[in-house]
Amino acid sequence: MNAAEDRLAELMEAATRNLDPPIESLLAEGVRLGVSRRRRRRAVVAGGTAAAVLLAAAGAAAALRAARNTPSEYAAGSTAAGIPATRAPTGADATAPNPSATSTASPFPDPAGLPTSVYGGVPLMPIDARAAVAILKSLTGADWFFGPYLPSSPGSLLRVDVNDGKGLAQVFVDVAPDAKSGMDPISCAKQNQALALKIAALQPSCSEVEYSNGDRAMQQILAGTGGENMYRIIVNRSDGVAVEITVANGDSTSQKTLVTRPTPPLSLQEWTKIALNRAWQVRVPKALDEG
Amino acid sequence: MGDRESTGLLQYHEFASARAGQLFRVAYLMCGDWHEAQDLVQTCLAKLYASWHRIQKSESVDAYARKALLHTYLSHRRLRRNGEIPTAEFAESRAPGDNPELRMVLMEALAALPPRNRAVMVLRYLDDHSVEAVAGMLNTTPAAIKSICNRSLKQLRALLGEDRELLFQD
Repeated sequence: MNAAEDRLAELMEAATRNLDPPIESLLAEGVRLGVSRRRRRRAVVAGGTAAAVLLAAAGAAAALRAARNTPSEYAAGSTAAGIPATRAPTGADATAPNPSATSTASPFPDPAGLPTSVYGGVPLMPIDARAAVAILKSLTGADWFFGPYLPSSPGSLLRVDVNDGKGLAQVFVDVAPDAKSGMDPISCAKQNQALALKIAALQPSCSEVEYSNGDRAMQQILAGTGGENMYRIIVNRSDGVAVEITVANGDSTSQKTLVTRPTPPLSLQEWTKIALNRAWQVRVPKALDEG
Repeated sequence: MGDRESTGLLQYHEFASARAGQLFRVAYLMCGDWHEAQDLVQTCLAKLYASWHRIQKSESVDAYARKALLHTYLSHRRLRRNGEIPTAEFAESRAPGDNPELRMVLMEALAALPPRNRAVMVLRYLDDHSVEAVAGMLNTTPAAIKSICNRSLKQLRALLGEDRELLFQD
């Protein structure tokens, strides 16, 4: 290292040398949360969830392979036999999504009363970025363009650029056995508290929704001073799966393309429906990783 | 609880007890807030606990712990990204211990960096990880990390060098 680097290291060391965090309490809380995570993970792997999806593995794989990464090729594949596109409705919804209504139109019906096996007993694997892209493609517009994505992204299952023809947007997706596994709690009060320091820059809106099947959702709109807009949805589903989707109206990691369109694609309600869709599972068909 | 599980738990406690302090220091400089740093460390330790039997066998536990801390921090930052104002403002985060003025000055300067860059600088210079190791944690290239370090160092020198003659000097 050069002199400046050495100096910075010394400064950081000096600034934190005498910090005295409550180690015992950190350890105790870490173990408590860790025990919880381990129990939930075991419950999911053992097939304790109650959702079942009416898809044949072959049909699913074929339909998803039909979805490509270029605008011209991403077409009716997602509406072919296998996975009918759970197309998000056009236009903003004035009311909260109705899970019952979603189940009648969707290949991923409401889980209440259905057999415990997820995805009908086909070979499963832990969800990864590739499978997440495949699921996202099946739930969004057939003519959307999906950009490259990393096999894994720091801090999230999936980070991918998308374009619905009206400008670049960026989508982040996380799926976990339970919201307590690391996602923020569904609490607008806590979100407002966290954002209180930056209240001048943000005009946050936040709502909590509870559905008749026990699903819960938190819907946020965040707006920055430079035109950045972000939808953030966290859902705690009654089948024990938590999903977090964040959608930005640009590439939030680059100053140059921070804002590329007025608002993110679709509406907050439409993204909430997408997050509630039972296609998002901790373990998904291996067929989704093909093609 | 079987013998194997007891041994594993004991090893976890030994590791966590020995590393929690350093993890906290790293988290604190990354996020600039005492309470958030506690949350980050607790989440990191929870992830370690939940996967202890697996990570013990597969890779350096230290490396796993750093990755878990980093990923949790960046995930939390996504929420606040639109509100991040790269000015001298930073979260009020009084922490006990010596050198509060130095700590405040340094954290004020670090707050001017984007979260990812801030994390890189802390991992490199406080936690003493190599360029290659940090690149691995962030799933990027060593060249990208070097570039981040050079730009951030320049920015920190500009913030800390002029008025703070006790600090960055040529």
